[in-house]
Amino acid sequence: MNHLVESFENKILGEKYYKIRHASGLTVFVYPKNMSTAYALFSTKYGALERTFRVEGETEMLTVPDGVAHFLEHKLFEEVDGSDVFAKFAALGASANAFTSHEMTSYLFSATDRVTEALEILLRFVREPHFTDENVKKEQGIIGQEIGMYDDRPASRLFYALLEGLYREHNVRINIAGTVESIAKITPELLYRCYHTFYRPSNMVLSVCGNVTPEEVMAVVDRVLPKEEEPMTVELSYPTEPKELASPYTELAMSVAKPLFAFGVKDLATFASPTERYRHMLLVNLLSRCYFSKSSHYYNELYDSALVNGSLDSFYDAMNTCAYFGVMGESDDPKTVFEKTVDLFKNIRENMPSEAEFLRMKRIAYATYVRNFDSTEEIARSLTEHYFHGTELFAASDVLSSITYEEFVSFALHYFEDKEFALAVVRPTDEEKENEIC
Amino acid sequence: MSLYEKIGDGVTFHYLQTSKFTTDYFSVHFVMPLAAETASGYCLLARLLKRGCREYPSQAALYSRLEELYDAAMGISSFRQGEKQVLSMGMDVLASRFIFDGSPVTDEALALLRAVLMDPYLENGVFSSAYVEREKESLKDDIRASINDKNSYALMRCRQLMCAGEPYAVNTSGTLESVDACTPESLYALYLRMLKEATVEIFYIGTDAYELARIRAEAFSRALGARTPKTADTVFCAPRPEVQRVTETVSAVQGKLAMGFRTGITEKTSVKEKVALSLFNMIYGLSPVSKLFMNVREKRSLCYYCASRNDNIKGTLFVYSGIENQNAAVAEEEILLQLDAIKKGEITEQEMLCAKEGFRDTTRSVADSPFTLEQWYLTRALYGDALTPEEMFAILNELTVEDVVAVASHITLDTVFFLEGSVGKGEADGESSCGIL
Repeated sequence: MNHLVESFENKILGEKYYKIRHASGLTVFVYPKNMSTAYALFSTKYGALERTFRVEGETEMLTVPDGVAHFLEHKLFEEVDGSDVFAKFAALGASANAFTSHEMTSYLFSATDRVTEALEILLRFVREPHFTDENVKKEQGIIGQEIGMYDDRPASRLFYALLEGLYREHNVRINIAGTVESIAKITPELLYRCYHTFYRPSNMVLSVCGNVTPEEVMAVVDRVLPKEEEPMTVELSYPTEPKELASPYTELAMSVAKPLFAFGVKDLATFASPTERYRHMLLVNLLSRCYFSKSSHYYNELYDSALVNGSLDSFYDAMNTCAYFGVMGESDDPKTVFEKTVDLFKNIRENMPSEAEFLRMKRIAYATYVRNFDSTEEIARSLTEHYFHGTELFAASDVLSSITYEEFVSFALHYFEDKEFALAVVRPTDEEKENEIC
Repeated sequence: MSLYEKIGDGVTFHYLQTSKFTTDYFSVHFVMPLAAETASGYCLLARLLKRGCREYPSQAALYSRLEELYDAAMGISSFRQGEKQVLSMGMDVLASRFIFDGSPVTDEALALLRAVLMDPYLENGVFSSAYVEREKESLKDDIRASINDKNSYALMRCRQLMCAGEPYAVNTSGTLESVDACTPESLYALYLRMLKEATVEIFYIGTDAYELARIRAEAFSRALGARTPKTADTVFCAPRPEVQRVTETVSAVQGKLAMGFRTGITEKTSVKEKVALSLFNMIYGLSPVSKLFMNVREKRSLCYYCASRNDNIKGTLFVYSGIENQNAAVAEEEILLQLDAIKKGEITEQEMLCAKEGFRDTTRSVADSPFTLEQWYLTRALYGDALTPEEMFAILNELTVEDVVAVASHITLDTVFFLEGSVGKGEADGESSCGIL
């Protein structure tokens, strides 16, 4: 193989993976793993956040309609000869899919046999766009229904209501699928333009995990990808986000039985290195587990007093251009839960988790990390995400083990100090309330 | 190595040796007839056992202990399969090579699981009334929340309407009324009855030798005491002569269509015929190359999803789709048209190939997780056939278009449920990621 190869080894797992830089500029990860199911993920560092950009040579920045990245993802499944990509995978027994998130778009398959054949189909269909007026129009109907489906999902609406409350400017507040109105503005020309800007091999990564060798994978990559890199500079623009919230409280009414709530803070911290950012993410997660896991006194107090039903889900999304921490749950009295929790965090000195609690949360984080290695899908996804965020999968556990209780305490003391909390609530519609009374 | 053997009255031990995973997995399943009188009770039992045991009498204490054991994952849940209700307890523990202080985590976690099952937290000889009251409220909240997910709500309503009067119509959680009827005393009596009368399936999936795993399983079996297992037969029904149609409205943008069919399964249906029904379902609506996906979604742009699922224990088939309200009739027509096409034998070689290869992929991937392995063999135990994934695929791979047509000919529409959305098109929202399927 004529490529730059690096390998990474984990002694406890007894496993090893390879990172290969292909001549086309594509980065390839191959993680050989003794599992029946192989999983491959072909991703571009292009998601819903990449809304305004300019390619070298162009004078003006272009702002595209909301939902283009996701629309493009759907449309790449269209083949020049009108054949069906899903059918090609299905004939091998492989299952294909794709998804678009804020930061990336991924195309994937899982297969238990003839993995290199499926891999060739994957690389080829993503490399060969085919957009026409007719097929764009057809997709507007399908995605319109997809948007309608998300529209009826309370958790989805709630999540965006929180982001809209937290962010004034950042694109993260815009929903990934766009709106029926915004996707109506999409044309084949626009799709081609976005495609040629963001689907260059140097902006992409391929992660394969399963019973395959680097040689087998690279043979396919060599067949499909160009022999050399075509340099291109893309200038991206993201709005500057102020410290202030957009709205401290957002409420909407939907057909739900009990109010759902989400609250959180936006995290504007900046870091000297990707590892520092990763460490910060681990610290936030350890801290939130101390209050919201099933063993925590705070969660049990809320649950026993019937202030919340079911579990409280805390989340910390750390992206390259933004980060936020939040908590989601179900409560008859979201405002009280919100106020109690804000109070807890604002007086964190009195509510500091003990060292024993901290160590237990570290064990949870360690076990979660280890368990992920049982899934070829998790491995391929983690390799991709670590790469896009500038960190390395095996080194991640060293970062975790190096966090001490002292560091945790000093982090916890200051984390919420300068942050404002936003609350979003989905309350039952009036009809729902009447049903309840009847 | 894979084995199963009877180790007690109504107790079967399933052993699967593998060193593929980072964890050792042990689980115990209590299988009972699904019935309106007991559904809420079993659900509450699953919740109460998680609240604590004598040694760790609160949720905080119990979960702190699990976390000390390297976050041993204890799952206790109740679910339905066919006309059975299952209460499952599982313990997933990091394998010893990942335990850096060398403590015997697997044995300690299993001792804890046994304590949770056999030595629950009691007050005055029955479950704690405070815990019971809290869990009743929580379960009632969950029952009310079934409206939150409109697609599964529509499917549930379709099943209830189609199978009214059969155990199959019963929800795992029961009803608000049946939850209210539960008391600490009645739940404790139900708990004792479960230990005595349920059919029990115990699984070990991990690296340990058979002898050691069997000793652990026997410890559970012995703890259950003297047993008189009871089973109930599945009720098989013919479709109603005229299609039942029910529409409800809900505050939502999209309409949800759910169509219920009877597939004609009885106690006499052969394994081969059941496998043919699974192949039918693969061709009809289980994959992105299925007839429903290719036609209702891709050709006619009527929906984002249109899929089918079949239950070969009971003999039902459900088709579900999210559509614009005004398209309900067109979608239904297209869904039935595709069924008729299969009945007429209009299955291409490509469709047959894709369905069989897809099935092969599914059966091969069963071995990739302790949970899919457990799910496979537990389901086989409920079917009473003990087929391995390879054996099942071998049967399926021999099937012809004629075999599929033969089973499809018995499929009859019984009930159409439409959940009509009453909200006009508004501002749309997305999720943290949106996919193509």
